[in-house]
Amino acid sequence: MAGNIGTFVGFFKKMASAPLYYTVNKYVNCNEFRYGTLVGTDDNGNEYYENNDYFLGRNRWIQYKNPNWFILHSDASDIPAEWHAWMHYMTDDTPITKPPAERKFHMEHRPNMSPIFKERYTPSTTTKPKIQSWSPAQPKE
Amino acid sequence: MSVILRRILPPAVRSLSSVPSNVDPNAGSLARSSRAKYDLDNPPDVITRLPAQANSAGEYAITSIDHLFNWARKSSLWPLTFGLACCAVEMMHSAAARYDFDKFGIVFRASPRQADVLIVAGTLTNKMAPAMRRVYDQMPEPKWVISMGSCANGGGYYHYSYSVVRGCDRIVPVDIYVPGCPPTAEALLYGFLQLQKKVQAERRTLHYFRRV
Repeated sequence: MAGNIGTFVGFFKKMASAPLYYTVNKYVNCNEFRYGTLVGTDDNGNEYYENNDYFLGRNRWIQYKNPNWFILHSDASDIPAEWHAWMHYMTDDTPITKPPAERKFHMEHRPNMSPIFKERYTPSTTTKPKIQSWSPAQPKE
Repeated sequence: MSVILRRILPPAVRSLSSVPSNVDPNAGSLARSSRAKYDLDNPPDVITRLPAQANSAGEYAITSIDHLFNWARKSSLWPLTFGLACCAVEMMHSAAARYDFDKFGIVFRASPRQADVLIVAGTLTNKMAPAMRRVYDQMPEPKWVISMGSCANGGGYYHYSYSVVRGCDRIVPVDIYVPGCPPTAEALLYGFLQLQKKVQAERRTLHYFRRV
């Protein structure tokens, strides 16, 4: 993306040159005016953007397939493992430019399932309890 | 006038005001109670913590107030520094430059009187438990608790120790559990974002409006 968008003037130049629907769409989805190049899309339909005119830490971002309209939709755990490394600056290679090696033990990515009743983790014990509790309702022997 | 009142007021108040005889005054509340049935044997395959729905025009207005309050609350969650062990170091990291809690409006406060969130960061011992409960009681409503790390979640490594509380949820009601030993600063940040979602789903004013 050409032009120094990090500066005040550069940002408004970009805003003036970009189509209006593009700007509105970005603002609705990301809650922020941001312009960048589409780097790739993951299996869930989330889009990944990059613009190195922003400083490090702000130059890569994700636009979720389901934006945060009804509170519980977009979640950072939607980012699959191969995009996680790029999003968190572990590598500069996206899975588009450098696809990850395929292993047979790789599982399908699952986001955080805590909000869903059937899927959430429920703790249970598999060992014998080490203490025996006394129930006051039972008569003592 | 009575038509407007009936549209604005909740069903409970509606029955007190002048109602035409052909209208069942409890129709709205009956419908609500039948919808609120929850079968534990057949749990719904949907997100359980959906916000409560508004039934009348007045409740829609109240829900908007709730949205405003929730936006203000979730945008300035002020946690209390309750660092007990090594988790506290990760908590400090999350407040530092890289994971900058300040950009989410999360500012650490030293006094429970000014705090919204209690982060229990570390091993909670039997000796510390009454002090933590007192600190929790001193916080003003509304207040939330984040349990950070294995020790605070369930005793963790010290589960069988004689001097450690097996989970801080035995002392205070916990909203968010952050797993890890210790959890990374990123994990705590994620926990805070989950708490923000939880705060956004609250309908305190709506529930109060329905009660009165």
